[in-house]
Amino acid sequence: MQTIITEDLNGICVGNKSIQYEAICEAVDTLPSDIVYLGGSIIEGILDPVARGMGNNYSDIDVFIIRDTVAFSSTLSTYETKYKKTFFCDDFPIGLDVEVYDKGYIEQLFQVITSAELNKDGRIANLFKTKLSSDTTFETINTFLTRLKTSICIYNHEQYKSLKERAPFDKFLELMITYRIVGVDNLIEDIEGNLESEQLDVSLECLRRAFVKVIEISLMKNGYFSDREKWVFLKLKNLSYLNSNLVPLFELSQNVYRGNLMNDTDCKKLIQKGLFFMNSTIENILLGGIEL
Amino acid sequence: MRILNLKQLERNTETRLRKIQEKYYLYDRFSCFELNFTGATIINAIGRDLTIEELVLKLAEKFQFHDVDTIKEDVTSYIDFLVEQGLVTIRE
Repeated sequence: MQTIITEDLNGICVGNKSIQYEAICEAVDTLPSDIVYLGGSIIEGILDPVARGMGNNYSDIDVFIIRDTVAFSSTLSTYETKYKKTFFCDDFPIGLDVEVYDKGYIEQLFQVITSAELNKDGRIANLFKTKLSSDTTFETINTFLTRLKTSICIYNHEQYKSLKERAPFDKFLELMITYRIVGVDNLIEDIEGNLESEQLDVSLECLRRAFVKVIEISLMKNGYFSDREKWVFLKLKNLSYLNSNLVPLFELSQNVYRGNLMNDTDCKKLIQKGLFFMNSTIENILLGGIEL
Repeated sequence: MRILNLKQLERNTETRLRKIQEKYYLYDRFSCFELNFTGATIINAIGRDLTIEELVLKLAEKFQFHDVDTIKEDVTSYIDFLVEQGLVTIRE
């Protein structure tokens, strides 16, 4: 049964559990200059029609705090990196995962993304590592921006609005699409090689790994972020109701992940069909969707 | 065999068309060619039900270049090249 999730000006209800924004701000020891917002699957499920169905009784709420550098450095936490500190609050009916970010790092991150250029001589995976910290990757940035993009501010609304306006969402999606295409290309060689040598299970597994990236690329091309592979299927299903161009991708994904592939001939045909489809999807995206 | 329609042609399944910065590349396991946007667009249309005449008119309109005879000549020699290189095959 689907969990009923609702939100109002004061708080959120997930099934029969509720939590008030004011209580969250108190529990995380909010400072006057902090920006505090909520993100993650429950919030996406509430705010974004394409994410409808995300979040359930077992989901936690992610609390994000953007904090001035000096205050950040003295924040206590369970885990920490150079720019992020994490702790947990279990005093509420819904668990809270709290991530505190150094505001200076976030400002620098936005600048680096905005000025980033893909260099054909450099590895795309290293694009951010050299200019930011070594643990800043496409995945960590994607997670941060996905959760900022669809979020609910609970403290310091004006600064939050300004932060979102300055966030380079579109530029990052462009870079991320290229990064994902490189990932698909690497897998395509595995799919073809294993298909040729009749290792169908291996080839199919590689196809599934590549396919999830192609779904993510298609979502990104339509302006939708996704930072967890598991959610892309739900988002694709919801988006295909709104955009009929995505129906063939949704239908093929049903065959790739849920179809009966016990027969070798059927499996081979599906792998070949999947390869062709992935390649033409990528090519259409690279050509800017312009067709003759 | 004279090619009248792009559906008479089939892309070699191993070929990939990719864009690096503003350049397009068509490659397979053995060779790699740099293409311009028009070349890439035609590659992308291979196999579709589109006559050469229609293709030429679409290109003329898209690029606002109305010397259709020159376009047709270029398209034909480009397709011949793709077939010669084994990047595209003629359907039986």
